Amino acid sequence: MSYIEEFSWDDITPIPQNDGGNDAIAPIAYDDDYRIAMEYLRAVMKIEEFSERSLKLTEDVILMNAAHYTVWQYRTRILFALDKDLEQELVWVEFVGQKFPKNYQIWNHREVIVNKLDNPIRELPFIEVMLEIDTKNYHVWSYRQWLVRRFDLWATEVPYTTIMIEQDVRNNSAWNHRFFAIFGRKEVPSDEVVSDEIEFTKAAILKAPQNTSAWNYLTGVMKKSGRPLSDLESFCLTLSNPSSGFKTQDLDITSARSLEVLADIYAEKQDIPKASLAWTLLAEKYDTVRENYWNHRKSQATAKILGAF
Amino acid sequence: MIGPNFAYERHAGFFKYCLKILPQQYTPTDTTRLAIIFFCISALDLLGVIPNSEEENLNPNFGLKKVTKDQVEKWKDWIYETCLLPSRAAFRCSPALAFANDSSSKQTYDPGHTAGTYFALATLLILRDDLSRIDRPAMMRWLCACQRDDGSFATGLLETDSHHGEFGGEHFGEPDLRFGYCAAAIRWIIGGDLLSQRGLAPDIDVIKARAHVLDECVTYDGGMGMGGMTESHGGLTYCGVGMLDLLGGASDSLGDGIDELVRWCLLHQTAISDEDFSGDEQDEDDMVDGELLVGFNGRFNKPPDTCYSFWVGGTLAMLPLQNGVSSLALSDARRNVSFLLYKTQNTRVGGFSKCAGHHPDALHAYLGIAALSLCAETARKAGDDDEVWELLKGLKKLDAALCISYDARQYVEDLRRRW
Repeated sequence: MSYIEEFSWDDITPIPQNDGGNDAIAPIAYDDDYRIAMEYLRAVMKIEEFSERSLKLTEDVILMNAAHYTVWQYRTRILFALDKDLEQELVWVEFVGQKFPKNYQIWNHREVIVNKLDNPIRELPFIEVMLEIDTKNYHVWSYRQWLVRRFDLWATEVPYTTIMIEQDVRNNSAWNHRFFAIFGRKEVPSDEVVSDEIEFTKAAILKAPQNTSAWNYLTGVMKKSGRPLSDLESFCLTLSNPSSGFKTQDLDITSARSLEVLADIYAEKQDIPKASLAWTLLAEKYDTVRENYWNHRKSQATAKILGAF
Repeated sequence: MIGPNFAYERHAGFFKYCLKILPQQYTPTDTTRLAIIFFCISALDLLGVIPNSEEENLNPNFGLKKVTKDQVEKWKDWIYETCLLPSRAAFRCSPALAFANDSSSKQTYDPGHTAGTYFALATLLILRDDLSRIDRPAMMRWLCACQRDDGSFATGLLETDSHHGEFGGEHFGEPDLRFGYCAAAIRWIIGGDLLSQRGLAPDIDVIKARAHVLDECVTYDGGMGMGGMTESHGGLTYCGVGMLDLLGGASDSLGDGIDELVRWCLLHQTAISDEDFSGDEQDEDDMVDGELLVGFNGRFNKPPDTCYSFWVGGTLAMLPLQNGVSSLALSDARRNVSFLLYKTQNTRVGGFSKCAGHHPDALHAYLGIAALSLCAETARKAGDDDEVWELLKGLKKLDAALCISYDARQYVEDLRRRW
């Protein structure tokens, strides 16, 4: 443990954990390194010691338990109090981030440091490394959003998601980020931008017609930009033509999501028989996991029509 | 293929063992130990092993040995003694944080924790504690201080040089629906709404809290994320809907959004591989008797995971459909249950794992059982008499919003009536 090797702790009395003696509930069989480091951590936290040795101690504790919920805040205060080199801190966080890609606190900490440095130069390259490890890392994508807003880095975002979507057309995180990149800015996107998005998404759907992420993006863009869903009717029909009913060949219907959107379009037009056929096909053949749901949609729409008379 | 089996005894053994000792691998959960404790004790409650009511609804066939009343008292004392802060207004999330249990020294790095407080209260309720050892008005003052200007909630408060004294400090933790959910649960459990009506404590800003969820967290696909246009996510959606529910009815607040939300949830019930029809290849391991096992995932196009059977299933369970039946009835409960029983249940050592082939852990084990309880209840109401439900008859009913047994919720309601 570096904190022990590099510094003297003779003046500090470690504070053992009060675990309630023999009645402890769910005690963890700590290894000694962790148990002892935590005893010293409690002791320096109690007196709020801001020192080189307490900084080193936070490092050792974080490497054993990065999810500790106040050690990061303590570390930040030490860094600021000792006026440490914050660039160095970012380098260290990069190491820890790769070691614990699922950890939440790291990103919060990095945000505080980068905000203080007021310089995003290291960020996008590091984020890319992290997204290579896990292309759907929720914390990393959230952090990227914060970064883009904070430093006004919008220009790179749509092209970046294009690359990510080309790599994996089913990456929902990348689709979500694209929605943010188009609609998250103060300026409303132009008609041309929206039309381009619709074409981009249709092309992606043709590569993987069952891909829920792309379909949700497509309908999301339509709604957000105030375009009617019925604009998608002919596109949907190329992927799922229910007109031949149950005699249809599987080849005529390659996308359950397309059938769903068609049903919504027909329902909007009050064409309940057509909508019902699509829902029936979904319930009985193309999306049987959701059989109860499609039947429910059908009876709901029918009841609504009956109620109108 | 042998028929499905629900290993009551093994599961009870698994949770009892976790309560005795957790292996070193649980070190990353050290500072959220109250969560682990809640999972274990609430699981034992659902299995009918906690002696908390005179009338026992446990199927006598299973005849599981109950925890003693003496043990229950010891558990309650332990939670208070090791995790309640000197202010009696909040709990820490683990004894690992405590460095001084006297009110004279600074508590900066040992603050109250919204999730820890929820887990402590929920566990105490399961154990039928009357919560008389906490200071409820002070807890409400602390909770109000944890609310941010935008209506969301922080993990807690850290004292600073300029902000200290009673519940002063800067907010710490991610701006995340998890803490909003915990705050709404705490407020409801301790009757914060009632205290405020009587002028005994301030209330949180309910309008802002609700608006934060609806305006900031709802995504373009109809689910909920962490806010600010982040991706929709099963766990966060559960927290958002649970929060709305505990603040006064989820469906009223959601309005028209409810239809999209139900669709969003149901589309997360997914097969192991999500290939297009054209390239449809199913792994034989995912089939039982020719039927595909279909669990829930938390984000689109990710593999199913035990915990989302609860996070997403529990969200559906909070959204009413008709005649007292919830929207969970619109999912394929039987295939979801098969996924849990065949794929992620560990019938040798008990518990459930995240996905097949992993070791069981306390979180997935509890949420697996919680999801099974919700499915069984939904099937019962829908009049489904499949034999699989017979297997789950010994499980107690679960309250989806508080994530505790239905009878523990009844107990809170009794407390609220007395307060």
